[in-house]
Amino acid sequence: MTKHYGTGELLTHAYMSSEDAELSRHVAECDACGRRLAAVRSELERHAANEMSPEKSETFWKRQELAVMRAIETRNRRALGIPTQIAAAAAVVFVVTAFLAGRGSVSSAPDMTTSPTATVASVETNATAVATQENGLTTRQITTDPWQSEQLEDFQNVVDWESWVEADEKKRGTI
Amino acid sequence: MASLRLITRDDGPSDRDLIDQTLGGDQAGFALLVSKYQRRIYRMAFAIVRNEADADSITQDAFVTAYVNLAKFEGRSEFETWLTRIAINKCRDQLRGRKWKLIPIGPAAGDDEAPSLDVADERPNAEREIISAQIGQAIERAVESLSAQQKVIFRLRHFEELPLEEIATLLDLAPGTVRAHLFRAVHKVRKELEPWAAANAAAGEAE
Repeated sequence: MTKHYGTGELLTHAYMSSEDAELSRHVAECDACGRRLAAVRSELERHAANEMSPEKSETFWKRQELAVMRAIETRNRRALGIPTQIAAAAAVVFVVTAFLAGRGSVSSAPDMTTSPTATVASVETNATAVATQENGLTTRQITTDPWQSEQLEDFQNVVDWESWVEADEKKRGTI
Repeated sequence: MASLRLITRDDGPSDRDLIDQTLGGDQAGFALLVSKYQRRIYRMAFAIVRNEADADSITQDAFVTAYVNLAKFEGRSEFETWLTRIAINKCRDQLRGRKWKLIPIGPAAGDDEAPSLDVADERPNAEREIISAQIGQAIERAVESLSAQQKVIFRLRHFEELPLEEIATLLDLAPGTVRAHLFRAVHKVRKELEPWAAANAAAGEAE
């Protein structure tokens, strides 16, 4: 009795490009199986064709192409933008660090823009100026009696009295 | 001068020329590559994911990915093969991430009610129509139960009619592995066909 092949076996044969010699020989000799195999193949093709995406217009392809190129452009722009941002951030950090460091050096150290010799000279000059000022004050104390100032003018009699009392007591030897 | 020579060539610039043009900073070269391969990539993506919007999105993504990695393309394979491989990987990722399933209308394997076949149909193409209905539904049901990898392989074979060797190349798999995956997929389709086959056989005996 001749063995006929079922749809499933023929389907496997069609998909797998089977090298099953027995099946191939049988299909070649058996009209019924040959017809069924042709029907299976044809149906697979038909199903595939029917299930394919409908034909697209040129507008669709152009839009898709533009979308791809736009996405690439955006990506490129972003890729360029990242280093710029990093550079900007680095610049900000540098400026802030430099500013803080500058403030610290001003408050804790002498101005390094002048040479050490100039600094010493400057310090010496300042010291001389202070001494001169102190001397000046001393001179003023001698030359100008604060009791004789305008503010203390009204108390001149009191001052004179105190001076008189002091002189009188010195005379009597109590001071 | 080189680009002038390329433009005046009858067969147009080669893929390698366009890639070099792109790497040199001229995106017009890549636009030509897009217009050259977008139809094929879209068609193949649709064959795998079975959804127009997804296929469109995958096609665009594949080209952008190719552009970003263009400098890494060493030319060991054709640009088209490399690009197709990128697209297929995206399709597979898409299938893996898909949370929903298509539910085809029609009886499933194991359903109590066997499909009714009009075996007495006297029309010349009656047998073909029966096979047509059987196969279409069986394929849709079977494919939904396949893994993402099996789906990709089966659909490339079924819709694109690609030879097993080409599928293996595109997926970077051994031909034997592809054959095994395809065999499992076809086996599931056959399982889905069993109720119809049984009904058909019973009807034949009744005649």
